[in-house]
Amino acid sequence: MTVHLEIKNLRKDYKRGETVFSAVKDVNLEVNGGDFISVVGHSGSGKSTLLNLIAGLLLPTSGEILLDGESAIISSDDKASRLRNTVIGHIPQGQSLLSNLTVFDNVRLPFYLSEREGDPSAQVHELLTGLGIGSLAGSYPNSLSGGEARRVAIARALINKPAILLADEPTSDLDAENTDEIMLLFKRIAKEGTAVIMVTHDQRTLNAVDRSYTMEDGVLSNHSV
Amino acid sequence: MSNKPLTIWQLAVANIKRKPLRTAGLIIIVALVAFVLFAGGILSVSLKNGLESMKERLGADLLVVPVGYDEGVEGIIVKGEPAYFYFDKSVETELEKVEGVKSVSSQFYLTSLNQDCCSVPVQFIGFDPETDFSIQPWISEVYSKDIKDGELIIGSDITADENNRLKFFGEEYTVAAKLEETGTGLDQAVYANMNTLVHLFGAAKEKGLTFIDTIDPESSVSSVLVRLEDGYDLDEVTHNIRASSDGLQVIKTKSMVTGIADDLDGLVSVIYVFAALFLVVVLIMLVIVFSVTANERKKEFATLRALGASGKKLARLVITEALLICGIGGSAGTIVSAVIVLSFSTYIGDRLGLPYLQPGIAGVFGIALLALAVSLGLGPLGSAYTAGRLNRREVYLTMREGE
Ligand SMILES: Nc1ncnc2c1ncn2[C@@H]1O[C@H](COP(=O)(O)OP(=O)(O)OP(=O)(O)O)[C@@H](O)[C@H]1O
Ligand SMILES: [Mg+2]
Repeated sequence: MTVHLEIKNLRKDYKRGETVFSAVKDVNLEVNGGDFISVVGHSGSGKSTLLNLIAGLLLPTSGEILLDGESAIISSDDKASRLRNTVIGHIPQGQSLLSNLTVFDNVRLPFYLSEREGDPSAQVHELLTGLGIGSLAGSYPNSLSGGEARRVAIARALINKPAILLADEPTSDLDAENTDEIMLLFKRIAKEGTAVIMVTHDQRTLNAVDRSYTMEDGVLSNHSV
Repeated sequence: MSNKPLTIWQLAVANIKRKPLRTAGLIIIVALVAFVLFAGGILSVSLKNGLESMKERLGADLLVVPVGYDEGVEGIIVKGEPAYFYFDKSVETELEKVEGVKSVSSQFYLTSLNQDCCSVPVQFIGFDPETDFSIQPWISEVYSKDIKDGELIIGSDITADENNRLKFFGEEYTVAAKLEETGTGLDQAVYANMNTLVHLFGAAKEKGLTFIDTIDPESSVSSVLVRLEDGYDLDEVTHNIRASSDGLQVIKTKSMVTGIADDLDGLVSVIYVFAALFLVVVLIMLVIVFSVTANERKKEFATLRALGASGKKLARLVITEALLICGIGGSAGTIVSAVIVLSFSTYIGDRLGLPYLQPGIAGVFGIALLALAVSLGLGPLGSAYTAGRLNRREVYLTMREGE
């Protein structure tokens, strides 16, 4: 059974000085397992805010986020965190590796954030090798190139086999060749049943996705660029 | 690469290891706290013990000495500074007749010059086994037989040779027993009966100690210890004694102890106030350091949240890091403090010039545990504010770079 994500009239207000504005404004979106969609928009249009709302890191001002018909992601912190750890793989924007941990530990960390049996080591090595960075397992993040660090973050997001993959600018540090590889990887993941939601500036990625949305001043529209 | 599960503990260890400078700095500060707490604890307990044991050891209500020698006798008892002074033995019989006096016992003082046995001059105290009530109760705890002529009882700071003998003024004496430590000057004294003292006195004279040329040891004593009849007032009896004869200085042992107790209370308060202030300053500093560091680590915490760590887990992480730092610092500080304070205890006691009796193993252990517990407690206290901020439902620490 694949996941069904439904977003209804989602709004997130922020205060900027005295004025209140909506970083995300009445967003409606439906994504199913197997979908690979992208959200394109200018800087500050609300893309990351949308992803963080879906991940339950932020609470919406109004609206609903339904995972398989339930609004669990906006419930208690413990519940939401657990859901985030088990259902969602998150590739945060920018450099997001934990600098005090090796590549290996960074990738296996999400496995240990909920009660789980077993040892993810073999999976970690498989993921790293698949992404072409198998030899970096023992390195610390500050010795990696931007592209290498990005691929570690991708591996980390996939370690718990998420039903939803949230990717915030996943190709920003990559060259054309690597970008194509990542797009192929995401496509394959989607085919295996994961819902992939990618935020990007990168025009090169657009022909890889099933659907593309545009975000402008917090408003999401589904006409392609 | 270890395959050990990546627990919060492991994560905390990695975090403090990878910031060696910050970690070392914090560890040193916490170690200082533990050092001060342990040293302060041992010091204040030892001083209190010393006072208690002095109170018990004196056993007399009044001490009568030749006029002007009140400081001399205090020096002997409190600081272990040898002294000698004499008045006529008839004082003892005079005092016995004074109203309110229940019993009297005289003592005879003599000092050695530096002897091979001891790093400090020794105070000889001769007592009359017939009348003594102040020394024999303590001797009986370590030696059940009567003290024969020529036998010595030594204070805990005095060491006899392997044959249990000590040489004074060219003659050897048998050590019958060694008293338990009191922490007072009396630990540096050697006790014997009057006959032995007279003998020592003669030997000293032969060795050319001219200061005693004019004294006849058979008819002189140095001090008379007085016990009061029940129902009599200290001041009243003191007055009676002063009225009975001239040239006597009457010392209330209670006020001698009280005087020391006042000094001691002052000193102990200073120790407590200093330790408390230090503790507060360090606590405030830790709160600030942990909070500033958490700000620098916003992105790290936000990432952990994105990966599925609950707010509670982040709180636990920072508290664990703080506990690790405080645990290491606290243990190190306590151990260093123990090594220094315990090995210099004799020196510290001498320098303070107050009765100083270190607690036994259990006491030392208890104070160490207390110092450790308080420094460990700095961890959760210092990081509680930061932990609280991290344990929020919404991750304000946004994922955006450069913020
Ligand atoms: N915690 C906050 N408080 C106030 N305003 C915020 C907060 N977080 C984000 N914003 C504002 O909300 C808007 C949307 O931010 P968001 O990070 O979602 O943009 P974005 O589309 O991801 O931009 P970029 O492409 O630069 O990453 C921006 O104007 C931002 O300044
Ligand atoms: Mg963004």
